[in-house]
Amino acid sequence: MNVTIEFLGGLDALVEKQKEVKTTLPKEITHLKHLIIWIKENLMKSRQEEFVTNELQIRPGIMVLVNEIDWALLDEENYEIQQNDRIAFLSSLHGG
Amino acid sequence: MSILCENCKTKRAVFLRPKNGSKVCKECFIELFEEEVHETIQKFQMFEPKEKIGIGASGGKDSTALIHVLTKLKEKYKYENDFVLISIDEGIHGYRDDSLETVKRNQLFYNLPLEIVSFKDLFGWSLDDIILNLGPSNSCSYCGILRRQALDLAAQKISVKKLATGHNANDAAETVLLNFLRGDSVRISRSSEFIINDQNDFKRCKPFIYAYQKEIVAYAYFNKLDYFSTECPYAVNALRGKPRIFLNDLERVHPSGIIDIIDSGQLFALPDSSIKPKIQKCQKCGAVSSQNLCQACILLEKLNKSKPKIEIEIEKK
Ligand SMILES: [Zn+2]
Ligand SMILES: [Zn+2]
Repeated sequence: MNVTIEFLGGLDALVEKQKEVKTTLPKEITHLKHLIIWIKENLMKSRQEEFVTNELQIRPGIMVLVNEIDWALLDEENYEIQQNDRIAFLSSLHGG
Repeated sequence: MSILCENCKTKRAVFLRPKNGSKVCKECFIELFEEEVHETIQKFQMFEPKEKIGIGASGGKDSTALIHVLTKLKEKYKYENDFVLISIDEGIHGYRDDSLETVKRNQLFYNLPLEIVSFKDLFGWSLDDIILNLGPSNSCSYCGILRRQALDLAAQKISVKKLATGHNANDAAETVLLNFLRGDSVRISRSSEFIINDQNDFKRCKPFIYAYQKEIVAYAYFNKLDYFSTECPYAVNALRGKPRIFLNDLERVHPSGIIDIIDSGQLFALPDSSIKPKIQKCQKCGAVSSQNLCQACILLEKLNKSKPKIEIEIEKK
């Protein structure tokens, strides 16, 4: 599955200043809940706690958008990732 | 599987508003958000006709969104107000220089005048120098004290009597909560005021007081606004302590909690007769102060003792 992942609103600081990552996901990463853990484990070297909580939920205050649609309208972490999805993580916690 | 906008009932909903749980399309969200800011401005009579309004511009999401909304509202509702951007250069190398570039791009884009005042020029010290001298532990409090003073001085310099800032509902709720935790009953009621009357001839207002942080960020996102989101190097981390984490968790399970906290703060407003600090003028710089010397002058005195060779001139009005 090919996807584009965006880190916006200051989250790029957690992934070595990459605002956009184009990648091919491993087969087992099928839903957003898997993707979140995959990002934490593969793209982040530090400050993971600013992205996910101890329960591996996305940190409240970070919006997730799939193709510019709020994931709250797409079943949130149970959304099934589609080919060429553009998945944006947008922080309202960073900067000011 | 796609959901229709609850407002126009024609376009696809793309955003679930944390404020009220409604599902709206991009166009409706932008319009509703702007209308609500307009209502806040009208309800609290934030702008007097013909009054020149300063907008505190940091390059960050809140102030950038504020500039965008006010520019649109001015056109739509024919506000009889001119806007001027005011930026503070605290002197934070590699951070403020970059965010000021964002402000300058926005200044050109919105075609507004811009006044930049720096800590170094006003006080003789940049924040970087202050922290070299006093250490990093209270950096945000030093910065806050001097920013306040710097904004007042900048506003006086360009004869602006009112300053609009991008403070939002989450900021206000956080302030109320912090004051509760500190047991500061006088401040609890003051922290949620919409227009803070600092001095007889200078007022601040907060058009975003009822706007959720998340909605401001979504508004900036859907409008593709150019804002700066790097964390200040002196701010320890983005989560900024337990109250902020608590508020974000609260918002997730009980969205109206943010506004409820602000409203609670207002209900605590103390009668005039109760123990409000006596307001007087700072003996050194003339700023409004609750003591003989204002906090900015106390801080500068401490700094100049630590490094007496530098001559300090505090601008007087
Ligand atoms: Zn609509
Ligand atoms: Zn003073």
